[in-house]
Amino acid sequence: MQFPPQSLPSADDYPSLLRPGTSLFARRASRLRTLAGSAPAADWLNRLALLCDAQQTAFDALGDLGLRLPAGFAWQQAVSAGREAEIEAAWPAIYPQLASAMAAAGVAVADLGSAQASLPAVRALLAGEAEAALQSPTEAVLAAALQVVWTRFAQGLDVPTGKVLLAERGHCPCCGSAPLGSIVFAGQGRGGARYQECSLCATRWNAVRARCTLCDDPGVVAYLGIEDAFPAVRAEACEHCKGYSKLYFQDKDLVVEPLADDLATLALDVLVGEQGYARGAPNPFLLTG
Amino acid sequence: MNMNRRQFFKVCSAGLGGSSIALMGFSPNAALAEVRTFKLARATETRNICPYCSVSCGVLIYSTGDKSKNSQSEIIHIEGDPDNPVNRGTLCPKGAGLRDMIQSQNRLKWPEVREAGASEWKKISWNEALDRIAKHMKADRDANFVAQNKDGVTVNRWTTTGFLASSAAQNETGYLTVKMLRALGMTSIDTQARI
Ligand code: SF4
Ligand SMILES: [Zn+2]
Ligand SMILES: [Zn+2]
Repeated sequence: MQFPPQSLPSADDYPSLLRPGTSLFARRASRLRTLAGSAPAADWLNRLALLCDAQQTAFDALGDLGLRLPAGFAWQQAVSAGREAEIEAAWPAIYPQLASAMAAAGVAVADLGSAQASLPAVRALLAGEAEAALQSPTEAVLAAALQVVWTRFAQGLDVPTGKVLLAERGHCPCCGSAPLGSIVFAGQGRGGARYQECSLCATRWNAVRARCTLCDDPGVVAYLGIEDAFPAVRAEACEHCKGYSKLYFQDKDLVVEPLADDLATLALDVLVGEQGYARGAPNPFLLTG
Repeated sequence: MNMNRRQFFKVCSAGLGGSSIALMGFSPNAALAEVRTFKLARATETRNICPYCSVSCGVLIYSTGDKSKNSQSEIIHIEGDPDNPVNRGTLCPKGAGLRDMIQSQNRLKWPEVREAGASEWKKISWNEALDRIAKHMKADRDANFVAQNKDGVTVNRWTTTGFLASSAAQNETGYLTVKMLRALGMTSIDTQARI
């Protein structure tokens, strides 16, 4: 008789880094449609689902960028450092595809030439350095085009499957952008582990639970959620920096998707903001102004 | 960690009513009306260690209640700490039932003493308890401390009192515990983390 091999919990060690899957944008689109359901902002979520569909089409057509991790890479800086132009070469070809998908959905956005003017604002937002969300549909579509190429880059990287010592946990180890929130996994192996998700390339990196990811203060964090709604989404709020970012719990909803669920739970942002906390995590599809 | 550049912003109802987001199909009135039907729930999450046994599993404790107001905080949930390398989020049945122990009616919440000859336990303060323990220790050490053994070799030992340390003690606490007790000459030192 054979027994399955057993191991102690301490033998489980989850990876520091997870690269994005090849159907990321399709999953986002389908999640947005599910969340649209009877939501008051259904039209908006459905339009963004179309944008994600177009992202997936462009992603599939783009193919592997052929960029690899340098040998002996030490994770002392973002992988992309110094190679941005090479990585981003494809975005101008992708932008018009996404723009026409949005036009078909009734959202007019600027042409490629004028969209270039929005680059600084989009870059500042993704870097976590903007003092407001993006302002126009053009900026959102531009960010979507950048997401396609950067996710392609991140997807092609052979990230280590074990622990690596990251120089910095506040920004994406792959592209240096700010995280849009964190997912907390359910199930065997990685259950309960928290990973931050990059707002640009969707790389996920491990971060300790019950600690503010915005300022790293070791004090107690508060979890703010909506009573009897959206059980999988909580804002992790910090008394030290008065900031918050959202956590998405798979054990409450297995198909939770950080970017999509964030947009469907803006009510939580409004209520948490009224408590005096400010958001420290960008989502390029959230527009204000 | 380089957090200096990170900026914060507020998502307020005015922003969601803006024209850009409306252009994308966001209907502010219905969405904002929905916000007003919601109520915010608040909990805190803190780390601790299961007190039961030597494994010393890490736990995450969720409590309700806002410390800034006069509300009573209550522990609503305890789960394994996925970041603790000892247990990686798992708990044995005893640890999984920790919340019931904390909220048990029978739980000892303060020091008690039963005086010699008395049949009743009496509640005392922590200060009284620590003073009593210190006096007992001193009396016992004064009576039983052995400076030299029968061959005249200096041993400086105190074998009649023992000490059981917490399983939740970290390395630093363990270091200080041993340093303190060895200085007194105590030889019987053990920890719950070994039982
Ligand atoms: S959870 Fe179980 S194994 Fe872990 S410390 Fe508590 S009693 Fe021991
Ligand atoms: Zn990234
Ligand atoms: Zn903080």
